[in-house]
Amino acid sequence: MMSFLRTTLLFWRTYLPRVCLARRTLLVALGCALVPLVAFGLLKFVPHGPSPIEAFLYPAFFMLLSVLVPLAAVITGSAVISEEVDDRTITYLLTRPISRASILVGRWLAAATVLAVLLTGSVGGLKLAVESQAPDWKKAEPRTVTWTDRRGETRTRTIDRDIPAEFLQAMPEGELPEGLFGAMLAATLAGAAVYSALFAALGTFNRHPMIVGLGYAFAIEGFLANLPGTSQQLTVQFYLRSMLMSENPELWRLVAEAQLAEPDTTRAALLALAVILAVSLALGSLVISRRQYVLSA
Amino acid sequence: MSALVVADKVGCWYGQVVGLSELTLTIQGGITGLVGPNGAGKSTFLKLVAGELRPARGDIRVLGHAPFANREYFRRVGFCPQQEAIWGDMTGLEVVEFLMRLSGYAPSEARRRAHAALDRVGLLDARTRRTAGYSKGMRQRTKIAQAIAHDPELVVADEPLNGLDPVGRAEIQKLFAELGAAGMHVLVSSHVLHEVEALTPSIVLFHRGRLLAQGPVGEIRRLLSRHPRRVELVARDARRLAAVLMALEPVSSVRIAADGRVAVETGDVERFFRELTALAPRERAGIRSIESHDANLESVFDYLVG
Repeated sequence: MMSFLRTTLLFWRTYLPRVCLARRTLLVALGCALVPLVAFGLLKFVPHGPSPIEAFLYPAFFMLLSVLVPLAAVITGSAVISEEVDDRTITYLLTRPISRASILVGRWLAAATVLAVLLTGSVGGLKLAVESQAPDWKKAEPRTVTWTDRRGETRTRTIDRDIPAEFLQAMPEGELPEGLFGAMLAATLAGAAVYSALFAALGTFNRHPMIVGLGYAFAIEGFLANLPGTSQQLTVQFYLRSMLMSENPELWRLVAEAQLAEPDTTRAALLALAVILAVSLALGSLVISRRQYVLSA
Repeated sequence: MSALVVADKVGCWYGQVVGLSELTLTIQGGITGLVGPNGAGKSTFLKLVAGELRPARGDIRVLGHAPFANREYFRRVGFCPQQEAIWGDMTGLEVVEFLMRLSGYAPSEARRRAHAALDRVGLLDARTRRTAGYSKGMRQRTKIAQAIAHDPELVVADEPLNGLDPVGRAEIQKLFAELGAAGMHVLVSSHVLHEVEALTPSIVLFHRGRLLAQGPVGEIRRLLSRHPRRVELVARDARRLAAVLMALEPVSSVRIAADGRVAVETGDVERFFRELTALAPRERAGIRSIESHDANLESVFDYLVG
């Protein structure tokens, strides 16, 4: 056991800087930077755009949790083993006196660490972007626009947007409601850990884990997670959303009512996510321990 | 002395493609060369020995162990795979040091061993350069360094001389000879017979996934020399030379080509060259060049398997 932990730690230490400098990490970092930039832009430059709380909730739910977390996890997680196979360097690792599972777990830990840092930056950046603009934000007055159409008739239109009172009252001091940021961060990090473990395990037995992972995350989960009914419980997204709903559920319901089934408790959601993560790593470890990887010269 | 490798009816397939078929073989210690054309099964055999693959059928034992995924066995073996790949974003020193850490050495000892191994393969000066900037020969040396750095009992090297220049080949051949002299067992493959011949008199011939021959290289060479060969000669007086050659016993046919070359077919090339050397000064035929064709391994193997 000590040997397994030591080797896992060695893999983590060796691969952490390499994951940081990888091109795919740059891609993920760009995606992470986009989320707070979108929120900032909406508040700063769109007069009849969202209120500050909406500028947090919508990007957090639809960009971060639904798209960026699984996408970033596919990009980094699927490379954990398949990169060594594609580069044909796995031979050096498989012919050393180590537990093969430590290759998977150590490399996954390195990928998950980088993901956690980037996604924490993204959620934190989103909070900062929203809170920096919130004190100056005022609901824009309705504006009437007049123009002449092709037939020469004068037309007018009033631009206004109804914002629910819950949203208008959500940030009276210009700060996010208590617990909202913490729940969002926890769900994001849990999602990154679970998805990346799932796709890392997939890479132990599939030669194209990125393609299969994208198919799973956005076709299968995308369909099941947004289908009303109990089928949502078959997805990672359901448990992540349950974690979100632990704080300020009334706000989340206003944002994504159609996507939200009756959530599990945070404890049950965490337990389910922990089981998925453990099963993924155990299954991946079992496969890599028994499988022979046939490489061409 | 117990055998180094014992393979009993070993079979290995890549889908529908046969890698090895019913291979039964015993290899004693020391340096052994594995020879055969591309696709003969040398690499598959070495991957089985190194524990990278496991046999689909039969049984293989190396140093008394079943090699596949055997951690105790991996402490005793060093593997230099055929593929050129190595982590390009690491320096040569980092690669060997990392793999020594995986072999269980403490950081300082791993670094010391990495230095020593890189020095031994002549790569010490380039140790702090990233391997992405290495030449093919330098990558080959790095692979050899990581295979020998932990002083294994057995070194398994798959085509280790590929990509090396003549000087590099001689150096690595000398290194393998030193390892052998120091008591290390070495299994080395090549598709070029004379490369292996320079390393060891003990060779194993593979062809189409089967064992073709095994034994001292002299025996195999004698077998190969009886393979019918075509020899082309350019001479001042081609007709006179052809007439003289016709009279030689090992010559089966002589033909003068349109460009004046004399094409000779012989069933015993060694005897032919002996007799040619004797008659050339006597007959004063003005021989300018001699070329021997059909000497590539593929044609020799085709001949040997009938």
